[in-house]
Amino acid sequence: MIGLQAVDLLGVFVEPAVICLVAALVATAGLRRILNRIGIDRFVHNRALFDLAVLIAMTSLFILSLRRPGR
Amino acid sequence: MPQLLPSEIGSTWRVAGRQFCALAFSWPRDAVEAVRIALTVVAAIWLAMWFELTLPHWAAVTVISVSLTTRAASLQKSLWYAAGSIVGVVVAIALVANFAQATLAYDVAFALWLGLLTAASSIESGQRSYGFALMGYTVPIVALGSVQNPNAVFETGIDRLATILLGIACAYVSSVLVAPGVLAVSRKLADRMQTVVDDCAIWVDAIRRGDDPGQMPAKEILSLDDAARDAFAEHPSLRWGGRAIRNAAPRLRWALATELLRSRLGDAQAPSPAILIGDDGSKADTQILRVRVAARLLRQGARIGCRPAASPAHLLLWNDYDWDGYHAIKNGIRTAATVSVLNAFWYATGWTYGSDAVTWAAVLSALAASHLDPAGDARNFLIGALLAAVVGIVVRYTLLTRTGDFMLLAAVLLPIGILAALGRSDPRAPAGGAFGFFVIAVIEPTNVMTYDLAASLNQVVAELLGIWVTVVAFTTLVPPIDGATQRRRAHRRLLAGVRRAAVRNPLLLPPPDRWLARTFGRLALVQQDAEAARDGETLLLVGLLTLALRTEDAQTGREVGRIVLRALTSGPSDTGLSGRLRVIAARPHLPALEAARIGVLAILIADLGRQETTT
Repeated sequence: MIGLQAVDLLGVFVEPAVICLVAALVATAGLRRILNRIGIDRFVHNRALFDLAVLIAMTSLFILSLRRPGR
Repeated sequence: MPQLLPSEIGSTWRVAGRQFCALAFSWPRDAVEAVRIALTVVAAIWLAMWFELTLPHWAAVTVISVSLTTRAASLQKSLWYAAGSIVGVVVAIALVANFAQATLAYDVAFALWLGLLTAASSIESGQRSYGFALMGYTVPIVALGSVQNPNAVFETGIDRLATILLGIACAYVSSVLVAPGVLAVSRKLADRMQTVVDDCAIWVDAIRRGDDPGQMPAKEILSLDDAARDAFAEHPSLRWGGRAIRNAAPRLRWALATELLRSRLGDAQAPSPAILIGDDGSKADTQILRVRVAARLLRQGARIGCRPAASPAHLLLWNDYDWDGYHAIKNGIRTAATVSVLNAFWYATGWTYGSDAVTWAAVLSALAASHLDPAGDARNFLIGALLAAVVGIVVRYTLLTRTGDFMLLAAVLLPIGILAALGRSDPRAPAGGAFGFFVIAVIEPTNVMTYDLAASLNQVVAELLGIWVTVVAFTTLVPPIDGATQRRRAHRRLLAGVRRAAVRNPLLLPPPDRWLARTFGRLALVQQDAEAARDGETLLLVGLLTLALRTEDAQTGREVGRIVLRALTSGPSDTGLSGRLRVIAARPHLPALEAARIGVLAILIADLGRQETTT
């Protein structure tokens, strides 16, 4: 269902999920800056949990985007 | 058997949930935290086994290691744990790749690396210190762990990194569930700011009334710096509009320095003391008021502006406070010597378990060197390891041999994890930290357990021997310094800092803010001795005035700097130097502010001379 072929990085085979996690970390870092600027803290009780949830959602989105078309 | 209706099941769960919550809230906070950490340990080991990592106990050790009392400290330690492990693994692979066939060269390179990183760890403070120590002792863990098969060092390194990152991730997720909100962190920091600003205001009032103000609250201001940094690490969103928070400690430092100069000169001084020392001219009262306002706004959740408070990049690697280079070099030499002696013994005897002894000696030498009482801490580590060895061997060879079920392992690890977490957090159990780390290393749960009692006993004895040798090294080989020596050295560094400010190349002069922070750090160390504190305060003012002078007029600054250097080198009893400064101050072409600064310097140099004569 998902193209899960390990990526060869200098002889180390890295799972695509790990790459998705790293990409999500970068993406959420940018997103967090925007959220900080608009003052999201006023609406969120546990900011750390909120950030973790956003990271997991973003990682899941990236992993799902690896789904091969037509399958 | 009567069947329960869904509504009854829901009700039962609700009651059970309420009872559990009531129980959890009635427990001491430390106990709840210990249970949380122990559950995280079990989860980390389960995940590491599920991913089929070679040594899952590294994940458990990582969880215990990075779970500290405050979430900010845990986050910082996690970052340094990951960075330190990566650097350590890379160096271990490089050493084995280059010296696999040259034992002596490998040992020399290994001892040098470990000594260097121990020195760096001793210079630094907080989690940075731990990070440098970890960079050092990761090398023996990875390289000596695969000493029988050097080709496997890469796999060992990658496996350790993966396991550690997994442990960090588990600890992070676990800490997120109990993380305090932004408002709670803001209020805590605001309370801290309020306390420190009150201390400063009391000190300023006392000095104005002419009473004995007691010790300058230098330590408290340094702790405020750390508290602000911790709050930013815990909730980076506080950076937005958080310049007033970041500037609180520097403002208070300038306020105290200004007030100190005012007290030495009296109120009649023409340019204000704040302008003389190179501040923006704000009075001490104004600076203190600004910090009070910032604390009040922070408590209400309000911010000043919406731009983020930048964090200086250099703080990632070194601090702004005080370095004791001599102490660091001694620690580095001790570590290098300890591991070299053990290495020599290992090779001379052909001892099968020598690598375990060297590894634990390296771990303890690097870790304890930066502690306040390294010899005492090393002894406690040995006691904790002895206890852990007994418990670990008994658990491994009596309980775990019954079934291969993970539930049994979890049931065994849970109480041990609770004990380990409690031992680490409770200062009344000085051997608790070592117990936590060592017991899990002795149990060493893996997917496929091998039970060889003789091998386990040999390994444990070798590890304890390595720890014992380190204890001996800490008490006999380059013994650690006492408090009085530490204060004397801090005073010497204080003097050296002012000398450098006086004659150093203008391009290498530190920004006044950073110089002031470092001098405050040194002042905090010498404050127990009243004479040294008074001398240190005068030196602080001399340094600030000299820096301000050199920044504005390089030529006159250099000339005055040389005189200040002579005053500090040849002994302040040289009264002629004070007179020479007055002659320079009387030059007609000199701007009024510079003349005033040089005049004040003359007074302070003479004051230093009087203090020297009195002592």
